[in-house]
Amino acid sequence: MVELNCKNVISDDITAELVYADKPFSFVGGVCIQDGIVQDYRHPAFKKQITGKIFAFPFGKGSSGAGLVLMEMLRVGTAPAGIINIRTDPVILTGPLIAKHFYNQLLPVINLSEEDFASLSGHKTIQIFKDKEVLIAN
Amino acid sequence: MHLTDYEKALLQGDHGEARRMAMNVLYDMAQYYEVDRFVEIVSCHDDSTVYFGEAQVAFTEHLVDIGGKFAVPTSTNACALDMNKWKEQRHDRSWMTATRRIEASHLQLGAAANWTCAPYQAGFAPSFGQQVACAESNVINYVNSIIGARTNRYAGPLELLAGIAGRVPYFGLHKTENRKAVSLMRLADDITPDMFEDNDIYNLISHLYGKIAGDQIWALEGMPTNVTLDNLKQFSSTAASSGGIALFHLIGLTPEAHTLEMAFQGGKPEKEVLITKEMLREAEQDLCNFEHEGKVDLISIGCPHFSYAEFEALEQAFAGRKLPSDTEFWVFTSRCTQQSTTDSGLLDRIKALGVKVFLDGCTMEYPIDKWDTKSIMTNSGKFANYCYSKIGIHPVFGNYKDCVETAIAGKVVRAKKKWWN
Repeated sequence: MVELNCKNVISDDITAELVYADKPFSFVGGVCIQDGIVQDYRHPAFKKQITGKIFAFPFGKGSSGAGLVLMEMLRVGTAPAGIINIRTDPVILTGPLIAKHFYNQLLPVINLSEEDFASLSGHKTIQIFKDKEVLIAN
Repeated sequence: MHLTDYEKALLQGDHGEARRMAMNVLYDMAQYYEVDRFVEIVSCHDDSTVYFGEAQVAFTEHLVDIGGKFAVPTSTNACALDMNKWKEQRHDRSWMTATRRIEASHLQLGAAANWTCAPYQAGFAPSFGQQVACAESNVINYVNSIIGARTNRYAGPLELLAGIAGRVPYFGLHKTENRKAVSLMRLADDITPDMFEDNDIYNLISHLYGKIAGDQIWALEGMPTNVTLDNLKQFSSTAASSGGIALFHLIGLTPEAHTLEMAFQGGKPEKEVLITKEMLREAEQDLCNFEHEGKVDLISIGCPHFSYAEFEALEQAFAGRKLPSDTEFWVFTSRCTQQSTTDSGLLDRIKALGVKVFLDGCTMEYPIDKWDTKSIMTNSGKFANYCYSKIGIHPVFGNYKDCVETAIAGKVVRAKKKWWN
C-alpha cells in the first residue's frame, strides 16, 4: 500500500480497480463507447475495459471530440469510475465538468506529479477521497 | 478570482439559467487552471455538430430548454452528412434524424448555421488580436496562426457554454506571453523553391511540423511568402492532425512572426531542428499508401471544405475531360461556396464532369459499411492521417491534379515529385 498526495480536480469517495497506461490517450477513436474497451491498438491499455475502473494515463491527445465521447459513455454506462492524469487539458476536463454541473454525476479527475504517476504502475486498486487530497494505491 | 458586476450577476442567475450554468462550468475550470479573471470573446466556432451519440444531442436540447442563447456570433462546424443528399451518400436514416435534431437545437441557440470546417472562408473570420472560442482543430490552428486571433483548444460541447456566457477564463493562448515560439524548425537548403509548385509539399511539411512540435509552439523558417490561403488551410489542418497543435509561427508569413525575434518575443529557441528533403520523403511514406497501384474506388477531396479558388483549380485540372462513369469523385464544400460557385456557373460545369459535390458533411464520416470501397485517394494530409482509424483504409495521397489524373486513367497516377531526386 502507498499513500500519495494528489490534486483533486473533481473529487468523490470511491475505490476501484486501476487501469494504468504510460501513454497519452484520445477518447475519440481510442475507446469503444458501447463496451468501454480500449480499441487503439498502439495504446498500452489496448483491449482493456475501462468501464467502472480508475483509468490512469499521463494526459490527453488528439481530437477535441473527447468531451462528447465521455458524455456518451456516462449516458450508456460505460464510462470509467475516475481518471488520473499528470495534467488534464480542457479537452479531457469538459465531459466530467459538464456531467458534474448539469447531471449531478461525478466522474472524479485526479492529478499526480510525474513521479507519483509512474509509481502507480503495478498497483491493483485505487482509493480516492471527497474531502482530502490523498490517494491510496494497493 | 476578479469578477465584474456583470459576471457576478451571470453566476447568480440574474441573466437566466443557461448563462448561470455555463458560467459555473467555466468558473470551475478557471479554478482548476488557477486563472484570475475572464476575458470576453467576440465570436465562437461550434464543433458539437458531428454526431457522436444521444448524450450530445440531448445536451444541446437541454441548453435550449433552459433558455440558452449564444451571446456572440457563433458559426457551426461541418456535421456528419449532407443534410439534403444523405441518401446518395448512403448514410443511415437514424444519423440523419440525429443530425436534424442537432441542427434544430443549434439554430434555436442562435447559431449562424453555415455547417463548415472552413468558416474563415465562409464569412466567419475574426480579426487579428481578437479573443474568440473555437473548437475543431483546423479552425483553432488557422484562427490562431494565420489570422492571429486568440483561442485555446476548446472541446465540444464546452465551446457552446463559452458562446452562451460570451467569455472564457483568461489563460493559455488568450494571453500574449503564452503565444511565443519555444523552438525552431528550419527548411534545409535541399528543399528548393520549385518544390512549392506542388501543393503536396504543404501537407508534408505540416505533417512533419505536427510530429516534431507535439503540443508545443514552434516557429518554422524558410517557407516561401507567396503561399495561398488554401495552402495555409491545408497546413493548419494537417499539423493539427499529426500533433496537438493549436498555434504555429511561419517566419515572414504569419502575423505574429514577421521576424524570428518577434516569434520568440525576444527569447532564444530551446531546440533547433532541420527539415530535409529526405524527411519530406518519410512524411510522404506516412501519408501515402504506395502499395496500391490500380483503380481507386473513392477519390475524396475537400478536407477542410473546398474553396472557390480550389474549385477553379480543379476545373483547370480536368481540362474538359469527363470522369469515367464508374468513378466516385467526391468534393466536400460549404453552403457559402456552393452559392458563389452556383452564381458564376462554375458548380454546374464541375458537376457536368461527373464530380459529386456534397455540402455540410465531413469526408471522415464516410459510411464505409454501405459501400464496397477498398481504396481511397485524397489530397488532404488530415484525412490521410485519420482515414485508417476512422474508416479502416490506408489511402493514396496526392495533390488535386494527381487525384484527377488517377480518376481519368482508372489507376493511380502521381506526378514525379521533385523531392524524390
